[in-house]
Amino acid sequence: MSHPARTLAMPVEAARNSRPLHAAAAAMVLVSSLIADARCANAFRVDDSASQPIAAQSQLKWKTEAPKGQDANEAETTTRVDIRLNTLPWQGRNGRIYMALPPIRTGQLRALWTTQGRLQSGSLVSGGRGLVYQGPISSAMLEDIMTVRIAVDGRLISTAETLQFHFEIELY
Amino acid sequence: MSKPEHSVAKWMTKRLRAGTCRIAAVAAISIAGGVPANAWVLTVTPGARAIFLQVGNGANNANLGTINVVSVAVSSAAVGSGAAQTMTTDSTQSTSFFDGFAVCNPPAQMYVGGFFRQPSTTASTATVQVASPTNLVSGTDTIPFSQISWISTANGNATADIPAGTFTGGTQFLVNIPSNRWLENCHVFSYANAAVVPAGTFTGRVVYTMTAP
Repeated sequence: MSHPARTLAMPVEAARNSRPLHAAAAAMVLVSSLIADARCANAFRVDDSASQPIAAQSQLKWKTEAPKGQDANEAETTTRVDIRLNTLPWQGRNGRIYMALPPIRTGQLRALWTTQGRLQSGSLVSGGRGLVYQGPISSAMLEDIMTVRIAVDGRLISTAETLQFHFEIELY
Repeated sequence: MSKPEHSVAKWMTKRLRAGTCRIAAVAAISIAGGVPANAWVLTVTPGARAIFLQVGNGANNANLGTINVVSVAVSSAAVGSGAAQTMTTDSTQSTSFFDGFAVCNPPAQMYVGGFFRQPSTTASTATVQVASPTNLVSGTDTIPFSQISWISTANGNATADIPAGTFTGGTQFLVNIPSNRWLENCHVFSYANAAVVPAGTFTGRVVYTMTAP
């Protein structure tokens, strides 16, 4: 992919003497923008402001009190959240909805969840996302109760870490 | 945790794509009046720090009041001969709580082990010490505690992680246990039997302690 900076960095004198090249570069920039837009044209943030977590804070517990076994340093916590996704803007369309979690400061963290059935059970790793729904958006609100287990190498979480989950929808 | 190079590359690619999409989504929603706030925010706090030390019989991750006895009966003919007398313990702890392995052979060996749990990757250690009185006592008669020493071993791991030594009649350092590691050994005690002492039952109590910063 050509980069616009390369065109902008061209000396003025050279630019004057190479109009066809300049035009081609501009065309390539336009094409690049179109490609970028097309790739993510159907991804939107979903308003989940009506969701209700059962707790705002949860302490990690070592999977094994002593540092032993295969998961010697794994720590985990389980919480529950009433998920309410405002899908009104996409009602009547088909979509894939993902739960996403930005990277954490100290390493990778896993979230694994189960649901009551309206949304899908799944998992994600911090910095990524996991599918929670796929199909027609037939209602203005998608609701379910998620039980979420957070698992991480407990050595990596030495101070409180705030996890900001959010939801994204892709239309198809 | 190290990851294969190709996995890291794959992960980064995913991240870049996700980032690109996120920017596009923000732009789209901002037209309609702003990015919705995250409703589900969870703050996770670190796992608890913990130290655990077991000498003799123990219970996994629990306090146990048992005080085991290490003893030897020296025959009158051998008293003060200078021939070291191997001691035995009433501890029956043979298995390790680490993995259930029969690590010690009581009554000849006494289990000593523990761990230091810390939610941090910064290297740190917990210190194990043992304090002994100056003497074993029988009425007014005494035997210096320095007459008792120990060797350190274990089934499946002959390395003396908690090293051999001799009681000093004071507080002495035994070992530093690195954070998030389990260390254990089996100690075999012996009485030096270097001096003739009056008949009697000589007793004294040693106390093992573990401290973490």
